[in-house]
Amino acid sequence: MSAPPSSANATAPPPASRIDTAALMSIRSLEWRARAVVEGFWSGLHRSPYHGFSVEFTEYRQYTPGDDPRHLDWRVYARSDRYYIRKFEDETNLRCHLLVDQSHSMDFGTLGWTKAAYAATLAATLARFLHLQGDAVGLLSFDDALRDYLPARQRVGHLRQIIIALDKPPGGAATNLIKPIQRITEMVRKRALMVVISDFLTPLDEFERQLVSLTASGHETVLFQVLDPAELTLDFATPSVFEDAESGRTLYVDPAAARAGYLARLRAHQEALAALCRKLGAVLHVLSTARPLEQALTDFFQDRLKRGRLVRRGAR
Amino acid sequence: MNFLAPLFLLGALAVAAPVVFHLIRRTTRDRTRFSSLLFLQPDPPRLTQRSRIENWLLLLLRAAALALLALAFARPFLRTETPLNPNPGKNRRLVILVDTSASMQRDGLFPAAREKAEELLRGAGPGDQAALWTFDATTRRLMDFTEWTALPAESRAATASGRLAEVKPGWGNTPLAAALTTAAERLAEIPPGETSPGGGEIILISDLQEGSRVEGLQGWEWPQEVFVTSIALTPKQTGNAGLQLAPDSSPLAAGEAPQARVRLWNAPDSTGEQFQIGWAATGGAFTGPAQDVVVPPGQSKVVALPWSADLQSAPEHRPAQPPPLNSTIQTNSNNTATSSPASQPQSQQAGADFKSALQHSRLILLKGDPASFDNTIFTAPPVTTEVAAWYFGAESLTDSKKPLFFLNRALPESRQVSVKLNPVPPEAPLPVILPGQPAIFFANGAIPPAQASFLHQQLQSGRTALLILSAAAAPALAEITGTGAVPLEDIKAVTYGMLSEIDFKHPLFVPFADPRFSDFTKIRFWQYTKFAATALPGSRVLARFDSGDPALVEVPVGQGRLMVLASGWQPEASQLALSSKFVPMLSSLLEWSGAVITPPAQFFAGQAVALNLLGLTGVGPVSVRHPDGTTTTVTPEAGAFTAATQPGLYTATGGILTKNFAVNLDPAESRTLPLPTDELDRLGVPVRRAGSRESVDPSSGPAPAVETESRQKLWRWIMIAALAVLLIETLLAGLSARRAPAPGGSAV
Repeated sequence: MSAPPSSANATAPPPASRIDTAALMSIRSLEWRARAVVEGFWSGLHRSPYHGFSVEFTEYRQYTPGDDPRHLDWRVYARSDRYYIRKFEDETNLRCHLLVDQSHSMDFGTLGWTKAAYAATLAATLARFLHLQGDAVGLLSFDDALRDYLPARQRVGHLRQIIIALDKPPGGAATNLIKPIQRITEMVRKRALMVVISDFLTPLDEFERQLVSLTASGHETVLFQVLDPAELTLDFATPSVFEDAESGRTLYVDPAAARAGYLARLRAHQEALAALCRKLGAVLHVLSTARPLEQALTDFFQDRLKRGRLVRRGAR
Repeated sequence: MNFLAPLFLLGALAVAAPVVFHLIRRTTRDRTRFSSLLFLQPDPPRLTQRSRIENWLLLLLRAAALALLALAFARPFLRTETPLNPNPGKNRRLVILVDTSASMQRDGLFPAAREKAEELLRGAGPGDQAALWTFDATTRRLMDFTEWTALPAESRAATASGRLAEVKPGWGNTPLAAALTTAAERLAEIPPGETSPGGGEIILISDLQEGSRVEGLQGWEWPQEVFVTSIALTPKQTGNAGLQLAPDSSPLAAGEAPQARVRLWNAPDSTGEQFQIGWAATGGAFTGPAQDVVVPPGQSKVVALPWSADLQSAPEHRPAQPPPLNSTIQTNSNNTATSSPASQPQSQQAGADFKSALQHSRLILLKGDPASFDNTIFTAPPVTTEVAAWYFGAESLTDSKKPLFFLNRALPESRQVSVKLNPVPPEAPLPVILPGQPAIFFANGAIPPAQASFLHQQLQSGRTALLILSAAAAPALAEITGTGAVPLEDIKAVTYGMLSEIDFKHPLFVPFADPRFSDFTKIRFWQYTKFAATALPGSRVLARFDSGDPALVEVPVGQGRLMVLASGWQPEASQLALSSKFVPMLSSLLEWSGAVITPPAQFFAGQAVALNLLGLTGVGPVSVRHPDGTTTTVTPEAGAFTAATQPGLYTATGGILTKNFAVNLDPAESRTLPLPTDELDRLGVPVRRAGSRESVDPSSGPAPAVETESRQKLWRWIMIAALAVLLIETLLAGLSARRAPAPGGSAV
């Protein structure tokens, strides 16, 4: 009997993206985008050298008589003609809350899609993936105020509701990270996985206090910072009047002259955010919208693999 | 350098466009939406290398091309001095034309004109020939070439100046075209003792106002070698407001008080806009409440001034007391006669009363306009002329089967004319009709010989009668026309007869000449009287029945005429009275016969007043009383009163008739804006303007601008230059484009 596919090549580099990001983002339906990413991720998973990419997935074990045949992975059987048992841990305890920023600052993009679309696809992908694994997924979308809140559930149709909420266009006059974190901290008493998806282009002082309260509540916190490549490089050719997407404030900027200062300030902000995450035990993923989502997901689970055990142990 | 179309030079302003666009581009209007300005600092726009003009040569070339194009379109030309006198050995011939129209009464204009003329006269050399003319409504020759040359050289200028000193600006208009063409023709005449036209120069001294009549120059072939130098005089104070009588054609409504309507016109260059207008006495003060009127410059307004009851008392038919026509009459060459007030003490008194009654309240005065020459206007009181229509026939006015019944209802009644129908039964005495009294006659069929004879006499004196024919009317027809017996036969149409072969050129039918109104086929005739038109000498058939028999015939009788209608208009005979043509036909008949005359509301100073327009024909000599009390007698042969040179109310009396008529200033004279500078040029007059005599060079004259430009055709060379500049620009631009590095794409 051969080993499970996930156990091979443990040190191989992450697989190249099988889905072109531009092609993916050109799919209008958010649900189908998430489906495409998850399917791609699954197919890649089975060739993946990494073991246990699931949040709570542990391993494949060869079937031995006496095992519950319900846990047989029939897909693996179909391909390999061997019986494998999928082993899960804590199947019903994981509750994931997606905190998705839908403010106007996310409604920016130079690649043909916006950060909001990218963030929504990311959130929908995570939601679908977790939902397929049987985990409970909830959603809290926000801009300068709370927008939609769906408690973490694992029932038929819940994923559909999440995707509908994620598909709403961005709004609001500012990004307010304080309120949603404060609110989710108040509402969710049970330990859970908190995934915050935003551009985090906001002052970090108050945010730090709220993030402390979140991590102090025992929630595992993962931050996805979604940024457009133009935000990372300020690569504009001609001087023009820059208009703030949220406040409407205008500023005349010559990119050639302002680039150095901008990058320095952005770098400082990013370092401060990373330092904050390190201090509080939160995980920060900085994602450029040019990066394939599938790879982002891989990074996420790879990182979880490294840290997951510790978290699980701490939770018990 | 001069320009034929100088407005095109504005196109040169397009030179600034590239520079302006370039400068506009400096401040970018591009907006970039960005997620957050958190990490951006304000960066004020700076002048970078890109916003500077990089290629001055290209810019200058493009600007030059645009400027040259604008210059070419402006059609430039150079004034070339055309020798006035092609043969320098000859002496100059000058006609000095001084404007004496009413507008020259403005502040200081005429003294300045006189001064200029005297200066010109003094400057004439001993061998020169000069003529001094003045013009307003008519052109007067104060001194002509022959008299000039006959006088000793040293006294010529003084004599001419002395005559000019006696001249004052009158009340006439400015027929500039007539004056210029008359002077040009005079100069174009072949001088005595020479074989070729002399040519010469007309020096026009005038205010050259907009109201000058220059239309006559259109199409007039200006003679060779005759040139015009224009000295335009400008008054110290610009702006003017003028009055003009506005005709009121609307019918007078019941109970409506008659009004005099006056149009107040304010020139565009006026400074004032508030005026007072009202009835006034000759002294210049309002006799009643004046109306305050606001008319902004360049606009006009019609003001209605109600006639009061005492003003309306028209002395139209009252006995002619004031003018005893048997007074001393001095006939002048104009076939008119003038009687001096001093020779008529009796009529002077009556005239003064009459003048007082008329003048003191029939003058409309305008206050608020500094140019006072056109601030008064005279208006004759509204008059209703009563016309007598005599109907010979044994009929009752209430018998609806007879023609009289319909005639009584169809005669016109208007604001100006009231026609009164007087039936004359066979046994009634003959009416007494005074010479000149408006009258027209109708006769139905057989009338007594006395009445027919009476009609014959009336027709002999120039009146008109209409005879409704029947077989029994043969003796009457013969008596009225004075011819032999004409055989008449009453015809009863089998079905009906219609009019055909209508003479629409005859004044009676001219109003129906339009195809919209020329359909007479709906008028049916049941019976008519057949006769041979040829039996009436000199007769003219105006309409025939469709059977070919004459329906309406005009027969001349003495100075008058008889209209013979072969059928009656009552429904028993035809549908004529019930048709829509009947009333217009009657009106045409009344106007054509001269019984009804609608005189014009006013005449203009200098204009000949035709006696027939006043309805004063056939009344013998007509005496016309001037506003100043003098009297002029006009003989019937003259036919017109030509001495209306002064504005005011005139009274013409002939026979028992007295007619008032107003003479006013020509409204065109109030248009005192300067004539457009190129107007005379446009009309083909070889003119040169000069502000003063010093700038006028008598030895040279200009050619017309259009001709000069078309001869020189400078625009062609300028266009070639523009094309050359554009070619160089294209080459340079191509070279610089090749040298410039390929623009690199910038990632966004």
